[in-house]
Amino acid sequence: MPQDITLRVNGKTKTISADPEEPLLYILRDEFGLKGAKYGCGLLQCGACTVIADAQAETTCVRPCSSFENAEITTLEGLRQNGELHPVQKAFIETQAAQCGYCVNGMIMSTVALLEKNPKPSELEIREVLNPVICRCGTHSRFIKAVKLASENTKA
Amino acid sequence: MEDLKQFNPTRRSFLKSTGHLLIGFNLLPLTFCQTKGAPNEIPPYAGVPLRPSIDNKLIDSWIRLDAKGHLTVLSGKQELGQGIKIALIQIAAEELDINPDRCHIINSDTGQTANEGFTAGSNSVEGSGSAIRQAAAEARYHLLKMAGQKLNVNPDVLRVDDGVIIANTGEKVSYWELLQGKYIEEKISGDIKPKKPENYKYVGQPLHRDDIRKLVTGESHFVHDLQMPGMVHARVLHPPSYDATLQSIDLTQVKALHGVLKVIRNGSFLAVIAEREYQAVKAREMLKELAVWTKSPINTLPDQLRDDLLTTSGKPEEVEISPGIAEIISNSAIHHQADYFRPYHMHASMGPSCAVALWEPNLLTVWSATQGVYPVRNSIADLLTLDKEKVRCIGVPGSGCYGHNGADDVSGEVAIIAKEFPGKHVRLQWMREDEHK
Repeated sequence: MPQDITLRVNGKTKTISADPEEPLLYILRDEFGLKGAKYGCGLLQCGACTVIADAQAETTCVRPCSSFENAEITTLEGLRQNGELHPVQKAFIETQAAQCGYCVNGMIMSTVALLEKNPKPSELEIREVLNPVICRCGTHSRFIKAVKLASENTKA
Repeated sequence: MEDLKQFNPTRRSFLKSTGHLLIGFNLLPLTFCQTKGAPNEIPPYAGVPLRPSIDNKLIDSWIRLDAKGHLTVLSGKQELGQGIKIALIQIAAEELDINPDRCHIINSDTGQTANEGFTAGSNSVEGSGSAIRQAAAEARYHLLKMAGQKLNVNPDVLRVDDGVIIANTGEKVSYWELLQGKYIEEKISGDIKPKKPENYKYVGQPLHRDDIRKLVTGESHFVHDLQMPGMVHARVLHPPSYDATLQSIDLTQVKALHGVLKVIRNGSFLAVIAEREYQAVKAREMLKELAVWTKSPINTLPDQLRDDLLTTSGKPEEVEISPGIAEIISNSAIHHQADYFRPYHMHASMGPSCAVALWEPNLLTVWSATQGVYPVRNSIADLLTLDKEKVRCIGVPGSGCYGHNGADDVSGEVAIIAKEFPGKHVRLQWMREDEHK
């Protein structure tokens, strides 16, 4: 049965009534109206639904919403600071890194989490981090270019 | 979505500001209109009203100029990630000498765009692009003629800078002032020559796709992202194997589930509508447990797949035989013999197929990631025994497109479900297993 779930998303706290087992992704998309994270495989295998929870890139299509209570959640929409796009978002636009774009959320959120910990990653480190995020169009070389550009524009 | 927020006039003020004749105008299509970045000096884009009929021989069926300084391109081709929106905007902007920042595009909507069949085979620029180029070139011709009359000069001495027609005398008049939002009622003659490629300013330039900005910031882009007022969520339960029919199911328990609004059983078609998406997912799980089918699921084990392919894939074909090849092979110094096996491959998309539908007394509207809005509109009309004119199919990007996928199927299914739940937007998304099994 539904119960009150309190979540902190992009700096705002909201209490919603939901099944505690309900995966966070549905809550973000339907209750918070945040459409950045996507439903991809639904099996923790593609990364399309990635958000940042307490500085970690986390998939949200399976993990229950109740387990995210007390976590600081940032979605794609929450990356913008004072109206300005995040350096990673800017780099994805600059390099036009998308074909269909369904995987872009996972690529960006994984990159943001990477650069937080390691602002100057090697190409191998970039590849390792983006490897679990599936892109069916084959846009990988653009993503790597975007991450490198974002890294160049990020202070170490 | 930004455009919709900016645009919230009353019907009267809209009529006044556009100067168009409105017939059955629906604001929703504007949601799918792309704005190519709007600098401050360009007033908010109000979209274009529906035309009473779509005639691909008319200039206005391809390009539309409003009274405020915008160009709207209308294309029957769907954005699949190939970047067709910006490519077609560039073509129209080029012929008319309008900054692409003033340009917008509406893609694949049976209520607004010409029937251009399927978006497939890498021919959208060739097909839609040449139609738009010709329409834009002819629009320019007529606009220059109008300006020539107004400024009392020969059209040949006129040049255009970002939609402003300038005479050799220095006198100016813009496209928007000339038309004041009226249609260019002219037919496309085919006699007007488009610009020479050596004079191109925008075509050939790597302009940014505005949809990438939307994707990167989390704005609504995909059919999956559509959020309509009062929208409800559906899931469908497909049979476990080909030709399986539904033998029996007790729906009492499913109907009693929290949030479930309706359970649909029509022959072997089973679907559930719920207030929230996850409630629909849970209800579908229960349907799956309770349904009794005449056939069990197909469980082809990986090691059986090879034999299965050999027995079911028909006779081998000779693709090409070079004369004397058998002799060349038998006389060759090295012989190599091997079997090569390629298992089934799927044109799988990143996300499961999804569509939204609204059943109203005189119109069924389906938002679909189809590659062909007109063909799927016709199929849906057949499926539900409706007049084609009573079905409108609006193309919205899907989660990638790599060959045949479930986009059309889910559009048909959501139409069946919406019929059972009139007056509400119904969103149907397949489960992962619906894509693969």
